[in-house]
Amino acid sequence: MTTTTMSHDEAHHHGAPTGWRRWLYSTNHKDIGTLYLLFALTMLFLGGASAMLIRAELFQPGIQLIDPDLYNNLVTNHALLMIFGAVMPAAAGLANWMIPLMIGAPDMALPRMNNLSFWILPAAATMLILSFVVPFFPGGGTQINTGWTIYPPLSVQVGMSMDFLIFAIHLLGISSILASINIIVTLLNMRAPGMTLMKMPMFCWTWLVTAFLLILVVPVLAGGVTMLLFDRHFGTSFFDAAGGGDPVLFQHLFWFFGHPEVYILLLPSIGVLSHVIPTFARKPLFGYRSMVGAMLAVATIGMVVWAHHQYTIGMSLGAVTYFMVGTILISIPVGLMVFNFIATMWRGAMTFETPMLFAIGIILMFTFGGLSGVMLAVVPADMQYHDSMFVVAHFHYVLMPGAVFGLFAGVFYWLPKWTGNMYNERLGKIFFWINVIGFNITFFPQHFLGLAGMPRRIIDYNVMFTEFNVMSSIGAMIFGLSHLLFLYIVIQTIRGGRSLKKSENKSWEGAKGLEWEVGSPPAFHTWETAPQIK
Amino acid sequence: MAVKETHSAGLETTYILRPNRSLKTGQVCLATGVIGAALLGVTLYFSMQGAWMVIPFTGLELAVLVSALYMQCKWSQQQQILEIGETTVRTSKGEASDQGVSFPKGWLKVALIDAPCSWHPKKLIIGSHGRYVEIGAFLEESERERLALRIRSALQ
Repeated sequence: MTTTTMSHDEAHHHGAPTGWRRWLYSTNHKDIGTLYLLFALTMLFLGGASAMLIRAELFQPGIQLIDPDLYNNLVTNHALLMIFGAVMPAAAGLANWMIPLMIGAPDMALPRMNNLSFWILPAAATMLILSFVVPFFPGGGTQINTGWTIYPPLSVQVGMSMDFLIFAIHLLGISSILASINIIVTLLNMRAPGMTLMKMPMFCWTWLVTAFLLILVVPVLAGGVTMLLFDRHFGTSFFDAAGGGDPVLFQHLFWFFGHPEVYILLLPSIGVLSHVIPTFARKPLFGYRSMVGAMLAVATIGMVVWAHHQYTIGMSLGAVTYFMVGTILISIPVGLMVFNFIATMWRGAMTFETPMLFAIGIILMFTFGGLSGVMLAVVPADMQYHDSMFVVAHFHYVLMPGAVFGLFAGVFYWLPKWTGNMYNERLGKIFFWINVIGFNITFFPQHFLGLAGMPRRIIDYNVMFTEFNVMSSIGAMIFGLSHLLFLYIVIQTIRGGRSLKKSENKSWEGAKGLEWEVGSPPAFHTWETAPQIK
Repeated sequence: MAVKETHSAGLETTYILRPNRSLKTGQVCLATGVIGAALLGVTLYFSMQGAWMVIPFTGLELAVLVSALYMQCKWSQQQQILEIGETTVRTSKGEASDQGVSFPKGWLKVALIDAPCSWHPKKLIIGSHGRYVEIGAFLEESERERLALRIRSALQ
């Protein structure tokens, strides 16, 4: 026991720190959550701009606006910016904001590590953007033309921009791992007294499983890209057949990460839905335990079916059968989740505020994406669809509704809590309709393009595909520009003003949970005394 | 946080201060074991396929995870005992190796002081004659304030 000399005995209250130091040195979970969300929003617009440029080029057959190398570079960067820059940080932002509030913890378990895991992201994003722009400078080498899968041998031959990309992936991985470890430790050890794991809010459960998935798969990707780096610069032949290596090994390493990554993007949004739907149906979530079980089943099965992305590489019959059956099996727990959401709404006193509209949209469109996923899981069918626009349509129907719309639902649901102001509901609904209609005009025709034989990742196409591509490009412009309205709504809500209503502590009539017990906006420090859960 | 208050003969009041924790040590070990086993399985599988470079990354990650859980557990297992007797007030960690610090009850001063940096929480200190001990460093701000009030009332 050490003793000290008292310097002064007057007690002063201290509030939130101010200025740039508040953000740079922040260890406060709300501030770091805000930083994550703002970062994700910035990346969403960068990734969206690249997508709109891609679709502008595909508006007509022939090469109009950009050259093929830049097109491939854009395709690569669009995917990486959206997955690693926008969706994952946005989900981490929601986690940072909401998990401590939901479990009655004063902050995340390791606040300094929380700060570090965020501030690695801008460095990683800089590397990622550099990988895009470096080839435009003298001596910058060739542009990245591999797509986000960075398969060798192509990725071994690309110029130095690939090195920037590899280091960006490493940094993004470190950030994700640190955030995941923090979330796991927080959820395991900082729940309020009385809150057992099976009383934990569903959003927290989804993040616990997501964090476990991240921890299991990110090191494999890190190992894979490091081996790629060694092949590029240190004379190894891990993936070079001429040197005794195997390029297919990289595909296994990549998809061992890449397939669970789908669930990593998806599960936090499922968590959001598990709060939004009961709130606006004014009923408790149907089948809490089965939801937890289904989520664990999705995560477990999702870990061991990665090679369904590689049916065409020439696996044994036994292997493809295993991966096909495993992949189709995932539809059972996912179907159970969808069933639980519908059962929650069944005979509920439903109202259709913007978060609920997104929730219902997700159920419809994500189910559609899941069904095209079952088509792709079937090996003989996949042999036809592989590398076609059908795959592009499928994964956008899974990831946009499943992940991004879920995040929009979460933002609209919790924005009044974060800011203390109710957003403009009319504008929110307008945004929803423009967004969803734009999304469907963009991606629905791509199913037909794929089934008719249009390959993905090509800058030019046969004139027979023109009509659907025109529709898709017009939809993409509507869809892309609609996000400016989202930005306006968010800024308007943050700024407040007389035109917007103030939010009560409980922003929604049917909302339940500890997060609604604190103020709107919450104080800088919340749950300084842990609540008792009965 | 848990502040347990007991009253007994001879010792007027005893406070046992502990931070809040929701998992027991065994459960933390179990969780670590499950993650470690899963990571080991993944590492072994891919190492056997020739991707041995996965090993340092999984190893490093497991080390960070175990360190984080260990630090959090260690932090949440700490305790502080404050015994207010008839003539003395004694504070200790409740360990055999820790003799604790005693102060004369009549001279005891209880104060909440600001930390040197305004972002940090206040400190609850007790002491007398120029010697002071911080208590409840792991408590939250409002808990410290309430504890200070309880100690002051117990001293009267």
